[in-house]
Amino acid sequence: MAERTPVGQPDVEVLRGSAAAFEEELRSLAPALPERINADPEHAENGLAKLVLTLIALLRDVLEHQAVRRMDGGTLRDDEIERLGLAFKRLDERMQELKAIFGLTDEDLTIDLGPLGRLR
Amino acid sequence: MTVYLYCLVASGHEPAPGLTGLGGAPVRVVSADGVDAWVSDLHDAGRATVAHARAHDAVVRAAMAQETPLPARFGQTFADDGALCRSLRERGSVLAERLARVRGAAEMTVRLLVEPSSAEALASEQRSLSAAHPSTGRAYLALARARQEARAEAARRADFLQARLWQCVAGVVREEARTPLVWPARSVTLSHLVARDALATYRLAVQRFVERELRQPVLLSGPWAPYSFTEQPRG
Repeated sequence: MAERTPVGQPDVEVLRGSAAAFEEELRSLAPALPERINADPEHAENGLAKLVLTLIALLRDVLEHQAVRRMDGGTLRDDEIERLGLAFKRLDERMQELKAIFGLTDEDLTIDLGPLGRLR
Repeated sequence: MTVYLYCLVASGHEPAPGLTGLGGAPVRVVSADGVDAWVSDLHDAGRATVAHARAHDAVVRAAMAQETPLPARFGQTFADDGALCRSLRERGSVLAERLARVRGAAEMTVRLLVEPSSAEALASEQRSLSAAHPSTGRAYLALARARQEARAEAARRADFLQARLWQCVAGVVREEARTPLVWPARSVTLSHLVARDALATYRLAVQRFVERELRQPVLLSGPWAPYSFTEQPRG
C-alpha cells in the first residue's frame, strides 16, 4: 500500500545558489503573510492604514496601467500626459509619507485573500 | 473550552497514545461520516506563535506517519464536538474526494528565485533617478511603464520555468499548485503532490532539471503534509 510507505523527516536542499539568497527573500515576504485584524486599540489604526493604503495602491496600479497604455497608444495630448503623470507622482509622494507615518513598506501593501489569491 | 482542529484523516487511524498538541493538550478523535478529525480541547483559541504553529504541524506529521491527512488551517476552532460534526457532515462528499486525492502522497516544494532582468534593473535605475531629481509627469509615467514591464517579465519567466519543470516531473506528480509571484519579492513556489513511493524518482527529476536548465537559486524541500492541496483543484 502506497500510504504505508514512510515519508521520513522533511529535508531542505539548496540545489543551486546559496541559502542566504532565500533567507533574504523570506525576510522580504514575511510582511505579506496573512494576518488577523489586530483588535488592540494601540495597533488597530496601523492595520486599517495598511488595508486602506493597499486598496489605494491597487487602484493606482490599475489607473497607471491605463494611463501608460493611453500614452503609448498616442491617445493623450502632451499636456494631458504631463497632468496625469504629475497627479500620479503626487499620489505616490503622499503614499510614501503615509507609509512612513505608519511604519509600512512597499512589501507590506499586499493582503492575502486565501483561496482567492493576493490583493496586489 | 473550544475544539481545536489539526487535520482530517480517513477513519480508522488513531493518534498514538500520549500524543499532545497545542499547549501540551492531548490529541483525540472526533468521527463523522467516515472521516476522523484529530483535535484537542483548548481553554482559548491558541495564539499565533511559532511554538503553536510547530505544535500544530507536529500533530499533522504524526497523522502523516500513518496515512496522508488533510491538514487544517492553523487556528481553526469549533464551539464543541457537535459543531465540528455538523461541519464535517455538510462537506462530507467534498472531504472524501479531497482525502482520496492526497491518499498515499506527500507534498514536495520547489522554490525558485527569478533573477533580476534588464527591465527590473531599468526600473531600479529610474527609481534612483526619480528619488534624486524632481521629475516631470511624463518621466513619472515612463517610470510606471518600467515597473509594469518588470512585473510582466518576471511573471513570464515564472510561467516559463513552471512549464519547463512540469515537463520534467509530470510523470511522477499527481497535481501542482503554485503560489503567485509576490511583488516586489522575486520568488515563485511550486508545490507538487507526489506518491510516497515515487519521492526518490521525483527528487532525481528535479535535480536533473536544475543541472541542465537553471542558473538561478533553487530550493527543494519536503516531504511535507499536503498543506497546498486541501482546496479543490482550480480548473
